Amino acid sequence: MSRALRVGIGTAVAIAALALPHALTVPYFLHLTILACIWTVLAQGQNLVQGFSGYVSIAAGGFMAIGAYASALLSVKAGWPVWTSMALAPFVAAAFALVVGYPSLRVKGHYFAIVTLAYNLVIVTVLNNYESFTGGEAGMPNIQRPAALVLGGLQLSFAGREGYYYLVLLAAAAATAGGALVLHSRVGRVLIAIRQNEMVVDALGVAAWRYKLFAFVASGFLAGLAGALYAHFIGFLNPEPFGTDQSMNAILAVTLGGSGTLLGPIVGAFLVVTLPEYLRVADTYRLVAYGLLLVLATIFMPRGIVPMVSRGFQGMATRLAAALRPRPDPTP
Amino acid sequence: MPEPLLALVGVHKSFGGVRAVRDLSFHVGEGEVVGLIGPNGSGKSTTVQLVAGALTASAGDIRVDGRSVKALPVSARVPLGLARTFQTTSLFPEYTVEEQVLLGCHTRFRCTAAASVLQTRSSRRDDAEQRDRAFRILEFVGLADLASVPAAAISSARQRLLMIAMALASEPRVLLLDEPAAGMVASERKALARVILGIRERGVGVLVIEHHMGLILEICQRIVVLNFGEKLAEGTPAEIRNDPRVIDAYLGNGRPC
Ligand SMILES: Nc1ncnc2c1ncn2[C@@H]1O[C@H](COP(=O)(O)OP(=O)(O)OP(=O)(O)O)[C@@H](O)[C@H]1O
Ligand SMILES: [Mg+2]
Repeated sequence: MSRALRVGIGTAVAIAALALPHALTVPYFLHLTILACIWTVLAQGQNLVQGFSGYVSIAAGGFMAIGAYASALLSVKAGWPVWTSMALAPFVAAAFALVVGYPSLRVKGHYFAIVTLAYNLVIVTVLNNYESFTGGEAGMPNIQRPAALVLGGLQLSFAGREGYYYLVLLAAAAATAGGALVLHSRVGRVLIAIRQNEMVVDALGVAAWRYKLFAFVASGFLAGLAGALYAHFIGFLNPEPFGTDQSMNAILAVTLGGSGTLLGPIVGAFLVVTLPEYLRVADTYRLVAYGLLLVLATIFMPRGIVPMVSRGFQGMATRLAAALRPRPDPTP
Repeated sequence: MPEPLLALVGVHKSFGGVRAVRDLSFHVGEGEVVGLIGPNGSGKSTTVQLVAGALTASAGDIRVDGRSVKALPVSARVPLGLARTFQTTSLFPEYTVEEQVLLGCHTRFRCTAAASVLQTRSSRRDDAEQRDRAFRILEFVGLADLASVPAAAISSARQRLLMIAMALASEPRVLLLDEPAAGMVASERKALARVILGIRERGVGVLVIEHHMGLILEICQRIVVLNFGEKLAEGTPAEIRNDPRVIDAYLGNGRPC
């Protein structure tokens, strides 16, 4: 794609994203869009580990829980300002990822997936049982939205859906930009090399575990941010949404959208948030239909939607260019 | 006597009951090509793995410039000057030829990984310099015109040269080559011999495992022969070719090539 075309498409998408709250007439759609932006943050983090380095972590839900509870507890129980607790929550989740990632990333291959699955189960169990602190299964109510900001005389409120939408949009854009910086750096080159052949990466003098640990901690950070954004949006927390189902959703978002691409996690996040809603028409068969759709998608688009569409687009462009090329003059 | 560049001192390695390498000692000096030959399963690849650090020796010592590297992981041995290729072609199939070598440059970047993520000006300059280096190495092994081709799309002989280029990118002082000529035809072997002799001219020590005796006799100053994990003989190509024990165990009567 030419640079001008890319800039053009980028600008159009940005304008559409900014104008969206005025275009959506049904408030519930804005609600879903906010969730999709939060899930984009989660999926961009998952992509760093799963998409780039090829290690599948089943702990995204757990780290999201840590971010959500850290922010909620700091603001509700400790009485800290919401902005402060939301800003600290990703660091708390990242610190957890550092501590648990260090030992588990030294095992290679599938053991890693199992170990992370265990972390997720432990986190949810602790949240359920440590009732005096977390409220257990009954949950924690009254989690406040962040206070309004005054920027250059402009009052920005986050109490309503619209204001909060711009906040999560910013977070999703920042997470994507972070992914882009990593992808286009030496670090991204090493991570994607790890996915292809870790033995050779080692032999070239790269301490591969450091790069994997970086990806894992960064993904913990983003999951923690997603959790904090979620907690203060919904206003109520219990451990249920952070089980391994949620980790599977993060994995699905990356796989469906396009593992290792930058746009894939965005597309995937919107799909995992909206698809189950659209399938409500199928009512009782909703989850069956969802499952079937996922199976079909993985069979027919193993590399995800974004790579498939971009390949289709390129094929069309080459055919178009061939058709438009002037025919060679038949006269000698 | 000065310390040799690479020295193995009484190295042992067993896998459960299998004693793959037994009491092995030899050295490789600067600008020296040493051949490591022996029948299948005699412990040649295991020796390379032990020197590179992919396996740890059960006993004995491995020294670079007199310094023991036995306890170091692979990634810490590369900056000390140890680089290797693999017996089975091992590359990054999705990357281009140039990108493979660029990964090989990893230990030569001056800027930190964080600077690279933040795309600082000095890191961009660093990156450009490493790309230049990678290209010059590709010219050296004769793959420069394939720089932007995916590694999976080039011939297997060229893939083996590419593995050498990747190893050279770390500026090794000792290069370990595990059967570099596997699957090559005569003309390709000639080109490979030129590359290895060119590496030697730069003062790099080379340890080369090879079954093709013609190549070994042509490029090596010294040859170490393994049999059942033990050193059977060591000497110049002429000595090895005429050693009755080596003929008996490995070369056989019909084939000193
Ligand atoms: N990881 C391992 N676990 C168990 N046994 C091993 C392992 N690696 C090698 N061996 C055994 O050690 C012995 C030496 O193997 P090695 O690969 O070093 O032989 P080689 O000389 O390189 O042979 P070839 O010429 O076939 O490449 C063999 O008997 C092999 O089966
Ligand atoms: Mg071998």
